[in-house]
Amino acid sequence: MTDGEQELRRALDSRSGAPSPDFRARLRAALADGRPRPDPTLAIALIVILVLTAASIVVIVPLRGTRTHVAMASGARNTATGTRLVSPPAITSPMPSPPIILPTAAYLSAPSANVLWAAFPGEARIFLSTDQGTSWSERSLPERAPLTPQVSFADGLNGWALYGDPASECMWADARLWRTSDGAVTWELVSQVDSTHEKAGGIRFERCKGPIYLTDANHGFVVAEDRCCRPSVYRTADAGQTWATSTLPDPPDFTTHADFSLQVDWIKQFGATLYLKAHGEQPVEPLFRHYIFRSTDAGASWEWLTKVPALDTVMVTETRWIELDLPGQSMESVDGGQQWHTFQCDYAQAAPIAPQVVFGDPSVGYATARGEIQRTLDGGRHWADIKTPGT
Amino acid sequence: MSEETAGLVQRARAGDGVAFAELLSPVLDPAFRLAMTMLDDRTAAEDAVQEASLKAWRKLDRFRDNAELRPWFLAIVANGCRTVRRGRWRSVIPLAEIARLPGPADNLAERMDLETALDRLPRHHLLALSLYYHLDLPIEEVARVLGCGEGAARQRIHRALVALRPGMVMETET
Repeated sequence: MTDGEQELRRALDSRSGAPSPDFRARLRAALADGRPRPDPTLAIALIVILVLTAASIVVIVPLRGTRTHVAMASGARNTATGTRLVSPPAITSPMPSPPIILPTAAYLSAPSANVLWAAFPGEARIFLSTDQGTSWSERSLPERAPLTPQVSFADGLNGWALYGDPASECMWADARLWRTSDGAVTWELVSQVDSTHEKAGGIRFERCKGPIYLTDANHGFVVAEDRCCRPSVYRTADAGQTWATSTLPDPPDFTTHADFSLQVDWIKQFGATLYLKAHGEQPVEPLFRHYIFRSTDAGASWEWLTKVPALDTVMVTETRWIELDLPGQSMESVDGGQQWHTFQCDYAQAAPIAPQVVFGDPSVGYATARGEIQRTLDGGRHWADIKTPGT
Repeated sequence: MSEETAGLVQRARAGDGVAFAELLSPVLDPAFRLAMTMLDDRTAAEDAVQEASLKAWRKLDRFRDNAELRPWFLAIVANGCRTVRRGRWRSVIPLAEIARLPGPADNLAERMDLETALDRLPRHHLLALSLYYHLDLPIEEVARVLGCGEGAARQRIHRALVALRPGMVMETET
């Protein structure tokens, strides 16, 4: 082994450590809770889907002409018959037990200033607040999964949840997209991509799925990406019945090739304009690069707009963008990312993990921290804890 | 797979949490060390290993009886670590941490450079280096975790070394 390799080994050793007895005990306790399984209603739903698919093909195929849009998973949805494929029992206030025991990560969606949704890993429930996080009501998710599902809500009623199963190179290979229109009381399976629906909607099943973004009851986006190619942005205008796709172009200083591809962080809409944040790595300095794209044709095409300094850029408005960082280092742009300066911000957390930050309007926003959620009422300058749902 | 391990797999598939904990026991340490090198944060590493454990249990039906548990589980851990959001929040290295690197001949500035380079290294490179240099896995097992052939695994390690420090090579290549 060369001197350089030995030095590398020492450096890697110094980053490492052994699992503590406390962690081992907690893990055993978590395993003692029993083997996590998919919600059995999902299996029932899939059986129903197969039956309905067969029926649909018999009835619909002869009637259907050439389509310009493609269905991600034919027959996955059955609104024609009015059948709800899955209706998990809804649970509402008062807050039930058990509490959230592992709020190590949360996934937030804030469609407006007052409405906030929060999901947690391993939980088959989701929490809704309509008073800026002061109180919460518990609703259902369609599946219980070890990973936090990605959720996106257009308001207090209409939302999507995306679940995926891991493949060797991707956390979101298989994907199941669910939709609710009654505030997460009931869910229906909109689209499914897996090895048996490999070519459904043209989405290669092994590509990563997500993030998702729902703009209203009918319009939404799903991103598919991998490590070799440019991300695809799928869009629907009919609540997931049909999908069309566009490809994200390479920015001027970025070349997509093996292991150096863009990953999409979020999509957000202001008026008629869509914005998309993506980041990627290149083999030469600067290694990490971050970009904002724009679409003015409802996602049919995307254009590179500008570079941004870091991973966690959040658009508060179309022109005011912020970047939460360590105390004293948070950045702000008030001209759409052209110039950046530090701004006074008291957000802080102990863990060295980037927060998820979402804004419901130019003033009200929410950010994750380890074990808690914080809220700002002044556009990100001052932050305070709010009650963590499920505790 | 030994008869004892096969028995544990069978019991774990039936929902026996004690059996699954016992099954994971020998691979928990390398899994945690892998998560630590990739995330450089103890709590985040614990989260990643715990979530990977639950996921592995749920996926245990897909685990082939003649497969090896370690690369299978490490691949799940690695996948989990790759998705942990990474921002500038880990860019500050506490002063106390700098002194933890052993080795009397070490140069402080070089150590800090290497630490910084590791922090900035893309996760897929960090994974390849951790598997080979930190966990000391044989190249065939590195390949199984990475989901590629042995030649490709060797190439990935080489590319990671070059990304970390231009000019650095694997001993077998010198």
